[in-house]
Amino acid sequence: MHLHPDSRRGLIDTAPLLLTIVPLAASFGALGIAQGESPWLLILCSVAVFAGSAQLLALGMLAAGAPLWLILLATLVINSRHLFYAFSLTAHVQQYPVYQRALMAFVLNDESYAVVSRQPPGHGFLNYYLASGLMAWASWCGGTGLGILIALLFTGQLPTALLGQLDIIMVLTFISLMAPRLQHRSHWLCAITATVSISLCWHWPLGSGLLFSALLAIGIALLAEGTEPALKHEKEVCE
Amino acid sequence: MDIWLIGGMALLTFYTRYLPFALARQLAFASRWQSLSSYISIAMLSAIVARTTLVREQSLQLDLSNPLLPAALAALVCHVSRLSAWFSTLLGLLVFLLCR
Repeated sequence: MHLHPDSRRGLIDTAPLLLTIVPLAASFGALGIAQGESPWLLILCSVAVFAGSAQLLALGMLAAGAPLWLILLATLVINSRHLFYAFSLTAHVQQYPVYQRALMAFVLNDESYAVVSRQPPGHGFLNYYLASGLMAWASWCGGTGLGILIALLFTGQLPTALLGQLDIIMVLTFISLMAPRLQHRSHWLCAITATVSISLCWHWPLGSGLLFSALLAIGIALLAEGTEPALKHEKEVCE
Repeated sequence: MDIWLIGGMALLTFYTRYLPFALARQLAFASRWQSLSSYISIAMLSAIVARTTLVREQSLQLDLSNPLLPAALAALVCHVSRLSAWFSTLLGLLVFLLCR
């Protein structure tokens, strides 16, 4: 099968992150079966929603007897970080027609964002982005099916210890994607602020600590940017 | 879980992601916006990495009993020292396995 070189690059760059996507998806499938949910609805949920944290949270809330509106509200809050992801990619996607932008939005996720956000806009971005996003989506759906199968066959859940061990892959991959971007003092300040802040408010409900930390870090970085001579000069040259 | 819940979640998730893409052509791309974009990725990725690394079993673990912490630090130091990405990741994995 002939693959566009940019698509191939997208697949290769995203491949290591499947080690974190598949076990999480399998946990969702297995947990759903353990809670007595229909396998088909679980699969449908992964195919149509494709939002790991929100899906796992929904399962927990269903088990606790939460009403539909509260689960939807939680979905909105927990997915609000995607709004930021999408905003930061608008310069990359503006030239594409509506249906392509819609497809790109559908497959946007944490792992693919980490990979695609370091790509420059322009020729080849669409192929790279869609390869990364569609592979993540297919892995999420496949992982859910795998978890369902394991839960149905072995009547048990996937060991959560396995999931904990695989976090290291995500951490190291995200560091390798982020570290090259730390080129100015304000970038470092942004990363350090986000780290310190999330350490203090990680327990806030519905992932709101994550959002707050990111906003705080962005605000402080923007303030610091004004006092950074090298970056100021760089921007003046660009303008 | 029913079809209405799945439909509602799917719509909310999609529109959260799609709204900025739908408005992409209307947004003005000033240099201020470009730098904001770079900070969004750094801030979000840092927060996700920090939360995954530091929060283990529903508590903050800032000591060496948390093997992710020295592994992440080792990988970060290697990256900052401009060593290859592969070497940094492998060293991070090695530190993780040794500290586990």
